[in-house]
Amino acid sequence: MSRPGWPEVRFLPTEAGLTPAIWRSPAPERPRHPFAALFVPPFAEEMNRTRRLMALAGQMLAIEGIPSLLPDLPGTGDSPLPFREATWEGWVEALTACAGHLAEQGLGVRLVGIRLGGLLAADALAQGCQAQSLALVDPVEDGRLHMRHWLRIRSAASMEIGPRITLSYLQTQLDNGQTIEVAGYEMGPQLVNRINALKLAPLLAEAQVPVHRLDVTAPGAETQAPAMDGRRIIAADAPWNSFEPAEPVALARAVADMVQEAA
Amino acid sequence: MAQLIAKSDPAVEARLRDLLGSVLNLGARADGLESDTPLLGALPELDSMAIATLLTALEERFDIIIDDEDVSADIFETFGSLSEFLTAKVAA
Repeated sequence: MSRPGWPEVRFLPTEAGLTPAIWRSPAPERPRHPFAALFVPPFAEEMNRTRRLMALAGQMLAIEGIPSLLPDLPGTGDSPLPFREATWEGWVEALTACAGHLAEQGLGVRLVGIRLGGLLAADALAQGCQAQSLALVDPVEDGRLHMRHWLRIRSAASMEIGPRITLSYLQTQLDNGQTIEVAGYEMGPQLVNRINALKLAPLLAEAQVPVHRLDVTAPGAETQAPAMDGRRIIAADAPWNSFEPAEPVALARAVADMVQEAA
Repeated sequence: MAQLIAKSDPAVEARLRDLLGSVLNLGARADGLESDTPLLGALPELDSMAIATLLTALEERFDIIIDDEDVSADIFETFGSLSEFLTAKVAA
């Protein structure tokens, strides 16, 4: 028996093997919507910190009669592939397969890309993934800056417990074809270089579907950019940045609202 | 370090206090950040992911570029050392 919002694991065939995905059924007493949310998670440790947000948003959508799917993309979560073997193409292919799985059930697909997942969803759309809309949550604009951020994390960890590892040392390792380890994730040069080359703006310019966007600013931030181009801004703690994320209820509500309205 | 000769600017300190408070989600504890308050190794919130996020946020808010060569454990030692570093950066 599936309960509304209660997670159920599905194993979807993709080129990288079976991809586990969390499916949440809509509440039976609500009118069923003819679409589903397809969550596209952030990168590496950010995904773990964001999992609760995606679960909460999925539960809120289920209560409104909207099912959702949250895949463990190849190399992440319970996927059998090790992270170091993950490829961008594998993620695009798996995401496209997940969208196809929803379409087979007669459901329109509303992509919900968070952080690097936003860039991934936009690139998947450009490569032919079928969806009716794209909702972005604090998306990564520039793949190169995002990868630099992860190299900085590795470098910062070495400040606490030496010896100091510099960014140029990490970059040299990647340039030599070596894998580097950041926050417990082994990142290979192929994946890093592929992400380095991606930018969000050109992908969105080509997008054939409505795009919605929610940006997160820190509560009490001194400079708050005004909302523009239909962008929404919420002042909330960003769970992907938080050492001990609080229950991200307000943010989950904002994400669920955006998906509902994202026709 | 020669670049840290500059004393920290109170205006920079105030902005840094706000920024640390929001990036690290310190709440009311941000108000207690003084020159001699230890940061790295003392604040559990200041883990490696937070340091990377903080560096990016500092670059954006203070409109500066922080080269990797500039970054060392020394600048994160105390609230005072970090604001001195920033004061020098903003003035440069």
